[in-house]
Amino acid sequence: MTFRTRLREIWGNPLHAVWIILAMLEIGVLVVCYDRFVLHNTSLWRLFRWAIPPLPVFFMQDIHRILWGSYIDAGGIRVGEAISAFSGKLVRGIWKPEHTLVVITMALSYIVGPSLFLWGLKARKARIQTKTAKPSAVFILLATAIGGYIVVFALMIPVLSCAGSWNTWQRMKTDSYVNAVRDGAVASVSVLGFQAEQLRLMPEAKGGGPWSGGPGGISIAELDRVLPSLERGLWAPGVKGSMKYILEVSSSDSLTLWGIADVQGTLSGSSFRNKDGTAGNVQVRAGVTPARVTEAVEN
Amino acid sequence: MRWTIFCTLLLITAFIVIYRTTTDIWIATNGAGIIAVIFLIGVAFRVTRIFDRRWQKITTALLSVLLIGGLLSHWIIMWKMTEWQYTQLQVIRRVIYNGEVISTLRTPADDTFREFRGSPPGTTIGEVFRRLNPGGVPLVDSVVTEDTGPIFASVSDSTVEMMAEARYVTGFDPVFVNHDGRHGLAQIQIRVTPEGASYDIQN
Repeated sequence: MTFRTRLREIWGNPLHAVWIILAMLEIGVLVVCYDRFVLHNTSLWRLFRWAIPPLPVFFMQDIHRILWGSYIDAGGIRVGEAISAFSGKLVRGIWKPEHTLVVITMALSYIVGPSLFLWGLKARKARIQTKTAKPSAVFILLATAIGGYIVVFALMIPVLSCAGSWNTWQRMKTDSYVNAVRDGAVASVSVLGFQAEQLRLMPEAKGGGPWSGGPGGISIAELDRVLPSLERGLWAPGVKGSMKYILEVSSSDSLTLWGIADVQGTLSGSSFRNKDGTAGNVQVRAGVTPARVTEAVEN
Repeated sequence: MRWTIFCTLLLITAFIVIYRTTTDIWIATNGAGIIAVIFLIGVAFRVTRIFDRRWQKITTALLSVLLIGGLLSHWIIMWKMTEWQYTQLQVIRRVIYNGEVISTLRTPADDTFREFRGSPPGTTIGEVFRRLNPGGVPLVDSVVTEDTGPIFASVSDSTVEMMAEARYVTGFDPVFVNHDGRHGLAQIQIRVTPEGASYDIQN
């Protein structure tokens, strides 16, 4: 079929143009996809953008974002709530324009749009089969094109975005775990420093040491009572754990206190041996003398 | 047309009612989303029936499964990711709060213990605490901040307990009953005894 014949056919029955419009929408989606993952707004992207003149509305960012953004907007509201809760300003249950947007776009994207598309396809088939003039071809064309446009954006973009979103989430979780371990080690130093300070203060009234448990000294048992059993530390969920203490009297005026958390530290099991025989866990150390406490993160 | 209108109204009603009841945006969105997905499956089924040839039906069905499955996957990823972000922000807030309270209360605890160790035999730790804090319940006027919230002190001869309860920072356990009867807020207790000072992150 020559191009001229095809053009005449479309002129005679505009319904044939539905597939051309839908095909161009598909091309547009591929262009968006190409842009998102490869080009990132290079000049080639601009070329594509102007090379598809029938679809200017396709690139109106707000419109297409609305079409596939209902649950993404819900996520945005949730993150906004988190920020409000962070500063103690969260008030739940207030209906905002954002909520209206979520529910309207959901109805538009997943019910009205697909219905329109379905109606257009069915009407087209019925019109071809029965060869009747109603509903008008232009009306069917519009319904199918608009419905198809909504379906493409509401359903196809999420499919294409799945992999990227999944990777982003996993990367966030990994980064967060690393940060939590680092923060946990810093918090452990704080916990240990608190306990070490108690140890340091114990003999202060007696003019310093000894810690060896001799006559007039402080026994290990007495020192141990200072160290509480911490069931909850400053850990974040997922890396929260209790800390085990090991106390060693190095000399009559020198103590070493180790804190070993039951979560993995910076170095893995094969690279770091903990004081309690475990491997690769967070370990912090506090050296205590009558004069001062020195703290260090060992893993 | 009737189904479209009915399902649109049902979706909007479900969203509004669920949100008003639970005040949780994701529960409302997911509730309405279930209606939407059921409707989409119905539409996909009917679109498949429009085509006459077998390969067209199969292709349409596969495409529908891919699209609806992809939508669901992306939806769930966004849901879980934003919920995770919400939780993480609360955790960060709690860590800041815990650090601030422990840092604030550490000084009076250490001062009390140090003074007690230097006191003559027979002196109780409660007496030392009262002597260092003649105004009664300490700290309330001096160091309490917007974050720290109220600090309650309980003093006996053998023990001094100082308890800080957050104004709005949430703790680990949402059903934890706080000192003043509220629920789920962060709470830390610092305890000074003749053996030393220790703290307990109670929630």
